[in-house]
Amino acid sequence: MNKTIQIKDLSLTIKKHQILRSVSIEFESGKIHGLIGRNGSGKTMLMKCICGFVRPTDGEVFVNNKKIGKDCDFPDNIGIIIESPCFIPYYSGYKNLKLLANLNKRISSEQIRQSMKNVGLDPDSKLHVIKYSLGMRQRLGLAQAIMEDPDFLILDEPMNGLDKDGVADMRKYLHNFKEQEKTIIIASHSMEDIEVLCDTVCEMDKGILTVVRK
Amino acid sequence: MGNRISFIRSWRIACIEYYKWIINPRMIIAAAMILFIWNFAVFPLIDISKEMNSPLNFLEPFIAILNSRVLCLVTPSVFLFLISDYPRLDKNSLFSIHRIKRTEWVLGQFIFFILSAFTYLISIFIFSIIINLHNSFLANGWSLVITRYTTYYPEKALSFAGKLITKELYNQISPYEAAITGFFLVLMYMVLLSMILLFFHILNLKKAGIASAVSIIAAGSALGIFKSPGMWFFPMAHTMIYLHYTQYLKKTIMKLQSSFFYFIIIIAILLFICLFSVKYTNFLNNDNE
Repeated sequence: MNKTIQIKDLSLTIKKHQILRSVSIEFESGKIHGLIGRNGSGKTMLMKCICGFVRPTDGEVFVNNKKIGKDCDFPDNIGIIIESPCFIPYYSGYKNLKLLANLNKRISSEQIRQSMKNVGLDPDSKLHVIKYSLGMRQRLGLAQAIMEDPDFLILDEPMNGLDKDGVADMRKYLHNFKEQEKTIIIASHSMEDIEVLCDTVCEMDKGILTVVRK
Repeated sequence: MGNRISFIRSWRIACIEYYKWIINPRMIIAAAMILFIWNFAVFPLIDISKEMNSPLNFLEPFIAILNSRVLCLVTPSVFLFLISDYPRLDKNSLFSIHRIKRTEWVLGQFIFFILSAFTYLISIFIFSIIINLHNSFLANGWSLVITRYTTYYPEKALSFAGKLITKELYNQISPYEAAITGFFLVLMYMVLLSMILLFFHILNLKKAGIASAVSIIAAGSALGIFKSPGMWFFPMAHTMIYLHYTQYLKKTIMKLQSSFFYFIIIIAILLFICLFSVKYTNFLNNDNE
């Protein structure tokens, strides 16, 4: 199955402010795609359109050949981190993930625990999320994104708050994910992350997408 | 995920929202509200009960709260304050939303509104009866305190406490019926206010939702106080049982069943519009955690 994301002539205007302008691109599977650009350039909105949170004014988004908004509300089997991840503060990390996983009951408790271990968190810890460091929250955010073994990962600034080891772990994990022929889109302000991780790089500027490296 | 709507997923979304609501620091306002209603409706009734040396029916303080002309403005306003940032879209919500369907999210919000309104009203009920339970009776009849106070003390007929439960209530309906009917009518009023917020949120006009709900409470309360016929267009009058009756005549001004239908129909219309319109909604206004 070709796990691609196709964006055709996508435009988005919210309250008379044009955020995306005729964006067309295809994100192929088995690659890590980097998205760079200044704050407010439209990266997060593009990701929200791909995830189905925002309906475009014009154009179409296809994920796995399904048109978002017509064939499905949100893409099936997608993992996301949009902006800094937040959780229910007075629950443990495991309980937070369990609540989310229970929504569609695709995975077992053991898979949730494994995803926490994969990102370096202890699933048996009773520590409430409110006491987590920024890096631990980011790791928990990644755990929720990967726990259902998604075909697509949409990550907005996934390295925020991670220490050196955390960044190394995250890079290693994303490389493994890519080798499974899955599709990853990362928005980052860190040029080093983009250089090290990404196979293709696109730049957003005032809602216009330009391919920098193919 | 399939095309079928899962009510279990909606229920789970409602539970997540409910938990977030319960731990919200603004819940302290609900505690202040309890103190307010004690001072405003419960203590005055207890005082006249002591004055007459006669017990109250255990439901009378609660019925007085539901039918007070002042509390009819305060009770929904406090609930609106507690619910005003719902449907809440924080960054955690995005993790839940993409795992379900949009329609399931709407149904989840609807269930959450019922749960939150029920919790709010049951808290008012418990705190209104608990304070005088030792000096109350359980039988389904009005106390002498309510029915005879103004006869025994005609000089106090116009006092605030003497007018808490009026003839339109105790001559026309039993306390159990008044409490149960009042509870469900006010519950539906709260759900209706919440649905107005949801409706405007789905149209991406969240602030207009709060303004509309506030206007509906204010206009309904004002018309209700003056007993203007226009009050029946607003939900507030439908929640106040004494407005449905005259003091003595058997004929009702407005049937209680009509008030139930009023709420059911408006809530159903709003829910239907929300379920239809949610496919065009942008989930982008992230509230902070």
